[in-house]
Amino acid sequence: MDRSGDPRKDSLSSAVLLLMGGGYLWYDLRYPLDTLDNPGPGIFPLAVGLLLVSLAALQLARCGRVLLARPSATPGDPRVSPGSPPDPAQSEHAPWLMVGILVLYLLVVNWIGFRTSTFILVVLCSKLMGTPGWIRPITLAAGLLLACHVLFSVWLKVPLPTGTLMSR
Amino acid sequence: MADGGILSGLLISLQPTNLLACFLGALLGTLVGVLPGLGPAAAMALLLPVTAGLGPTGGLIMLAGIYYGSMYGGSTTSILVNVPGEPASVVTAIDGYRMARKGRAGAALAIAAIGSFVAGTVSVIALQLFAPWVAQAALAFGPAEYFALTLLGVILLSNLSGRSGLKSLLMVTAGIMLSTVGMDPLGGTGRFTFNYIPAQAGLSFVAVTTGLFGVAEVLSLMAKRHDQAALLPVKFRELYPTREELRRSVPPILRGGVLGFLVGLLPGPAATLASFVSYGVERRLSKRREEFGQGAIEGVAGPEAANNAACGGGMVPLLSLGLPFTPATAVLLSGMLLLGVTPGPFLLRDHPQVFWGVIGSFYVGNVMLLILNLPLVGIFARVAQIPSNHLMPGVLVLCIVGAYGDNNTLFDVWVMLGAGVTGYLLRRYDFEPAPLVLGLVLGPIMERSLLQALTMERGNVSGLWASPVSGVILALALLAASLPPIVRLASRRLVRWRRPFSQAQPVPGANRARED
Repeated sequence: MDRSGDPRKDSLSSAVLLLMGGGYLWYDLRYPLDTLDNPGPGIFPLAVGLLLVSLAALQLARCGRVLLARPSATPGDPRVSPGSPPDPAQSEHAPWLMVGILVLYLLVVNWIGFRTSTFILVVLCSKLMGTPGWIRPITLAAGLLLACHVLFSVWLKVPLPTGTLMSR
Repeated sequence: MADGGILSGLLISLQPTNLLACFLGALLGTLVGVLPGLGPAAAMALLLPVTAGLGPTGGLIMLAGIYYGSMYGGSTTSILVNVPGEPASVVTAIDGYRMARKGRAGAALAIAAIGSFVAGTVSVIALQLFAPWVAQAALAFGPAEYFALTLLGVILLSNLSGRSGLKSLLMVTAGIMLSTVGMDPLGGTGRFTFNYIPAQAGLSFVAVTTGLFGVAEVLSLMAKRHDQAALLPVKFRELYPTREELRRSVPPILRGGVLGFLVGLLPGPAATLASFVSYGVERRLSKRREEFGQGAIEGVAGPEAANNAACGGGMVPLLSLGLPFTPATAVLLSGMLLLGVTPGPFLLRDHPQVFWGVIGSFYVGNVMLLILNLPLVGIFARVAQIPSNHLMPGVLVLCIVGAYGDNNTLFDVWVMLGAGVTGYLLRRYDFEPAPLVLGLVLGPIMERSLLQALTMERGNVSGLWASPVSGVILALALLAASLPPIVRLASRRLVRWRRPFSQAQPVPGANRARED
């Protein structure tokens, strides 16, 4: 029933969850637990944190057992592939580049406004996804902004940031 | 008119605004179902601000339309392109695509649409009968019963979701952990906010959902480029199944309808589970077992009926108890709260027009979907061929505006980005994000009911199982938690016990048992 994936991946994720649970429990110590008949704000997070730490430790132990039980890989083993070329269809950096662009977007959106920043964001996102040339990304960005303006600003009256630079 | 009953519900759903909301929901749901990756939960979360402009009844009718509409759309690409738009349609691709390759695409699509319509109607009838009854019974529920129900939900969810129960449980717990950010439900103390004022309101559910499903999908698609799948042509005049195909489809559709509704009551990926269970049942019951996997019409009719009926089943705990057990119903709960409607036993008393209006719209929506899906099937299938580099920037912008529009604060967009990165990493590390979303929704209900029950029982923990209802539910939860490890242990022992015999003489199936 319990078919997990790669034990190396699982042990890494369990370690992260274990650390997260530990940090959460440590931070929870500042909230009072009080008594069971008058429970304080820290009691439920304490139970949740303990459960998370226990489950993560259990998963880590399981992965450790699987990794130890495996025969050590020899250089001829297909599992060892330090120099294997990456799959050409995959671009490992693109998602992280997009995350960086989104962080920058969030830092400047209040300054240059929703329209300008979103226009640039859509163009860059479209380029990162492999759209050739510049006309298509720019047309797409303009179309999306127009749709957003009609739907959110005109119809739903969502106060999207206009930007301090633009309002001067 | 608004006082109750299915007739008043039908009249409410036929009002022009609600009819338009139902049509838009059904249409958008079909499109979402057709597109691989973007599921109904993400689409509903993205469109929550839009539904606010339609009022509570119209808004919920539109959200519900997206939910069940996506089940219709998922089958189209499964059959024509062999790319399931939804996990619930994966099983349809097995026989549906084979039928299409044999020139019976039209018949497979027609049976999928008719099956979805019939089962959808069966499940609405059951929902209409069950939900008021459960809501009436739930009026007697106290905090202890609610705590027991959420606990049972969480345990069943981790047993049924994903490949690993432990990983699912880890995700539910992480979701509950995230739900504790913000004010504590009884005393109002700010927790885990790092003294940042916008965080006092907690993590926005819309921001987390759009991030986990929408942004994570955009990031995942950037990491890998998909080849465009070839579309098999289908003509309108080919949309007629033969009399033999219709005759063979009736029992699987009816069985799928009942089975799907019952599975839909369970927490977890009910629609997916229902379609797989139905396929298994039909294969077992069929006299033409050898045709399964080669283009058996029963393999399309049963699963498609079951995944649609599961939507109706999933609405019972939401409408009558206020407990969402699937990510899509969790978004519906969020939408209800946003529109000023609290789901649960008092929904029928306080907002009968919403309760019956939504149920009535299921009937209207099913008819609309049948009309939409048969003649427009070719257009919907072409939607699946829109390149992701044209579609995903739009999804990203909708995610940003959706997250921002929830509270008009950029903090929620930061939360969305964090959830997006988390969702992307979860996919890469083989974790399901859905249990995390449900943990986030069920966490506050669980905490509030536990603390209230403890206060009412003056700290006496045994008060949690003192009433017969909570006692039975907790016993079921204990059984659900302990059964899988016991079964696993027993099967391991059995394999060990068989090993000496298998060394002497090969035992068929022993290897399979070990793998399981």
